[in-house]
Amino acid sequence: MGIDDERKLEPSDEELLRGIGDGHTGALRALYDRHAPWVLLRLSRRCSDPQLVEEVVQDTFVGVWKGARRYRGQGPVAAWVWGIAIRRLVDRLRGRARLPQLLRERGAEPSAEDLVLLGVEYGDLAGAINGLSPELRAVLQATVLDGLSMREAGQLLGIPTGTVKSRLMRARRELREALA
Amino acid sequence: MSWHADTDLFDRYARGQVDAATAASLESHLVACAHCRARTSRMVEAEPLERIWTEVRADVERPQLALLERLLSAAGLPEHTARLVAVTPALRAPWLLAVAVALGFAVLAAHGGGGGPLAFLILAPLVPVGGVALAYRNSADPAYEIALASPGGGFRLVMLRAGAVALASIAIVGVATVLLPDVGWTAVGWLLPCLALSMLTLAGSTASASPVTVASVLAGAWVLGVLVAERVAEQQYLAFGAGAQVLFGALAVGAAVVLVLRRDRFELRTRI
Repeated sequence: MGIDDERKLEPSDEELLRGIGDGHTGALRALYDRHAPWVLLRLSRRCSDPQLVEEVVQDTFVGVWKGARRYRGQGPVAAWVWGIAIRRLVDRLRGRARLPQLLRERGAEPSAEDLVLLGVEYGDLAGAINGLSPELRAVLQATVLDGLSMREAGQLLGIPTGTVKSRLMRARRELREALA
Repeated sequence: MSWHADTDLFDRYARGQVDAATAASLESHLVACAHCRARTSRMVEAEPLERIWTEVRADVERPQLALLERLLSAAGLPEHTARLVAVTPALRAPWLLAVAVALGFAVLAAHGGGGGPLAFLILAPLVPVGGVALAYRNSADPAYEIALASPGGGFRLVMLRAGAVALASIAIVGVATVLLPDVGWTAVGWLLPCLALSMLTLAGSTASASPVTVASVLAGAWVLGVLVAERVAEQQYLAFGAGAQVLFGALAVGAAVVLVLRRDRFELRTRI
């Protein structure tokens, strides 16, 4: 009974999306409260201009509002929202002069704790990824982690699609060698 | 999910102080874990989030533009001009539908009856004229009072709407023309008379008569004129022949000149 009550109080993301599809701004607000913070954080790691990041977050949730009916239960809602966000970022950056520090790394050395968190059991995967040059890592991040196509990754990073392809191949080769 | 990222890791992630591999693993985890996602809200300041939300809400609550307005905006018309054109009564779907039906019957008659495309050719130029007459200063116009009060209204507004209506009408008639039985160039003979009659309607409306009256008189004269010409002249489709086309072209230009010269009259008139 207690669990049922809690479920009524806290609708799932999928239920909120259905509400948004029916035109309820309250449902959009609830989904925004849940997802805007992490989307903002994650975008901030990919774009150093806070103003632009805010615009992309705005675009993203307007996109959620318009596209809620297109969500068909394919994977988690969070992944779907991120798919919109990263593409809106690509849209906003298209045609802009790209800054090399767009995908900046203010990184410190990974601590032992970090490596445990990664759950790396087979070889030093984290070390191998961190050992990649920033260019190769950026390509790997855009394609593998953010799920962009090579063309979109090229637009995000301001490099030709062919370069994305060759860098991705080089990154894979270096990872394989490092883990061998 | 049993594993959750610790607060210290989150803090360093938010400050951009973790390496690429750790960030990647945390980001993958966030997509899958609602619990950790909820904790990120504490890492982000509330102020920008509220600001963004205000913008999002303003965006989604903006009224949806009608299809026609969106098309016009996409074609490069400023939003306010698109609205003015879209509220033109003659652009409403029922009116366009009635026009299409009337032309459809005329086309059918051209195929079946003995009159050939004559009925169609007589009717076609009157479609835009009717539209132009109804395009402004009409009690059926919901924006009538607003149009009267608008400082830039008058001439520009009338031209804008008449132009839009004429274009829409000509497009419909143009489609119908393709469906006519083959009569060569005569089939497009309606175009110049249509232009002339529309311009005359507008020019005539600068006098004290209402556009609807002017249009009715012109339409009557047009129908009568064509029918008489068909009876009296030995040549078929005289009204759509080369000589008549020159005449209608000249009429259109003359009416346009009158219209421009007397454009102030649109500002002064207050009632139809």
